[in-house]
Amino acid sequence: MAHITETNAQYYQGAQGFQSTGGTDYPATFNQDLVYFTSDPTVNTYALNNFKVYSSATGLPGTYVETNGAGVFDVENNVLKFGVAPPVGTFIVIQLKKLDGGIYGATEAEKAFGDTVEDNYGGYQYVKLNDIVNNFMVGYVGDGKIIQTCKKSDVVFFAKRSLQEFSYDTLKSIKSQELTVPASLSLVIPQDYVNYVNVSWIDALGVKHPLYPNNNITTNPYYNLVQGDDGVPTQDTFGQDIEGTSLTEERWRNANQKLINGTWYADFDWFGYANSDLWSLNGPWNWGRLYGIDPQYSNSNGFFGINERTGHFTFSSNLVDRLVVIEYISDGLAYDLDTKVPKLAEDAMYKSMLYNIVSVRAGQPEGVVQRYKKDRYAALRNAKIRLSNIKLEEITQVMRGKSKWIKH
Amino acid sequence: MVDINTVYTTVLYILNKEQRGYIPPAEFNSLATQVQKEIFNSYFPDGNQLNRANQQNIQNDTEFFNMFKDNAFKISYFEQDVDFVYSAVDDIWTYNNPSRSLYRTGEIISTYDGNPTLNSVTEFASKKEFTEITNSKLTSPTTQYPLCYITNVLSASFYIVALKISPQPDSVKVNCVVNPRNPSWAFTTGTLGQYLYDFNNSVMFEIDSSEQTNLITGILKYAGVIIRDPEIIQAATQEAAKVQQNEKA
Repeated sequence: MAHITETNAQYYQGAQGFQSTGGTDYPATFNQDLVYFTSDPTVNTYALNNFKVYSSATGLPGTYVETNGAGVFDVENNVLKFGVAPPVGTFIVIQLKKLDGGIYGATEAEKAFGDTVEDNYGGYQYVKLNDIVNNFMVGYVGDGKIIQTCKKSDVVFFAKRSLQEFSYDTLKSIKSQELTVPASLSLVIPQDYVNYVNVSWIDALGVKHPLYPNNNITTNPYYNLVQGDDGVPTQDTFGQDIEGTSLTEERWRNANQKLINGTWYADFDWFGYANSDLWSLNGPWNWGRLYGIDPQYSNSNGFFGINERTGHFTFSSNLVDRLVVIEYISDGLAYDLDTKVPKLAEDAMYKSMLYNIVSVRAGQPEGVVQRYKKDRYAALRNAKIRLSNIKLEEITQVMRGKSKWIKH
Repeated sequence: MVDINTVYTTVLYILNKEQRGYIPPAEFNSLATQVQKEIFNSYFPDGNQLNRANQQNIQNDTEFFNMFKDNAFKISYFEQDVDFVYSAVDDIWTYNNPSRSLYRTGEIISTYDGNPTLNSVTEFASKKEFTEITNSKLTSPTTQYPLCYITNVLSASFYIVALKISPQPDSVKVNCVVNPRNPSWAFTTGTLGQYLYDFNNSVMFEIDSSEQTNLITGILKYAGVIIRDPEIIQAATQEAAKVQQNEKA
């Protein structure tokens, strides 16, 4: 059975057409399921449907009108069911929501605006986790195989664990957020965040400038205790330590970053005159001068940190009002749409699940376990190479800029 | 299916040889029920034993001489897709049909209406496993991977099988093995007081036709006990042992 079941129109336009033969039922066969709440546009959940229905007596462009109304249609098992059968010969179109609204709506209000169609674009490069589990049960579990029997929950467990591990270091990092740094110099950590890949600020040309972590230069104290005169933390009436605000964070927020990254002299328009006196200056701008500045801090782009206490990304003061992009990884299980695996890593998933299941079973010969461990390692390495997206022509192009004598 | 009249007449023919004795229809029906049950019950441990050839990759790939498939074929007469009914009071799914009681429950398909409608294979677990699997975020049951355990509920004067399924499906269909119906050699009384076979009211043996020999020897074995004839018991037992040895070799 061919894996592609959608027509070209379904994939590219997100539209499926029917001509009425007097029946009430019209089965949709999109890759995506129809999301249906109501056919009544006066109910606010109508906007949550991921499709619209149009009909036309002639089927000619420009003659389609949106079909809706209380009880006009229903959807059950992805079958569009009309309350009253459309007249024989009527052209009916199910249009999934699309960024440009599709071609059937005559007015802006009638168009089907949304991104359902775009969500499906490129979907063929992925395989759903559910399919991975089912394929595994068929191919690897059964009488006469290494895994004679296995609970499905075990397979699901190791499939999800494998996806988590793959998300951390093998699969492409596709998650990112574009945000503006507010006056508080902090942004909430994304909901499905596990770790960051990189953080950058974006200039007027759209070019990204990497930010570096402030790990060794400042910190975000977890407990900010209020002390008495004797230095001992004070407690409230419930016996709990009283906490105040962090002075470290406040000083970092107010810090002139140029005194840290070594570009402080840009602030001194009299630098040319005062140069000889600078050696005698005392103050925070002397930071790093004794042994020379460490290259990891000589970064004029700015710094970011993670305040674990408040669950925020924090930014250095020179980044206020700047556009930043946080690229991060999740574990692949946060949302249903995430639970998919690139086909280039499908075999590595099977091998990983196989090894994990065999390795925790009692009585398995150690030779078998080791064999699957090696299989898993080799498949994982292959997946990493494949997903690294190494293209010979692109490497050649990069190398051309590296040296004058690498030519072809 | 095995014709009950053939079995009864054969049994009577063997027993009456040398005027050993006679089994009336009521006694025959009791013995027939007992022997059919014994043969039916033996399919399951036999199937387990015969499956070892599959597990060890030493099974033959012939069309008709694979004994595991042969054994599975014999059970196919009793396989039924059974609809379970939801009981909101106990939050369980039950099956209650005294005329066709369940022997084993197999694959459980839970159906969830929606877009799309999901027909999900339901994992069968013990109560303990059900709790453990449910408590893990990675394995907690979903409409794609539902989970169930078997329990029972009092219905009238006896307990019936019930399934607790999570998440709550819209309908449940279970591939079950049902118990065979009790065979019965029905009769009418002739003018001379003799028993006349009544085909229309008789119930045939439901097990496979290949079991006719086993049925006859099994009934003879018990009949030998009834008429106190050790020779019959010994002959029937030896015959049954020979058949069994041949099948499992």
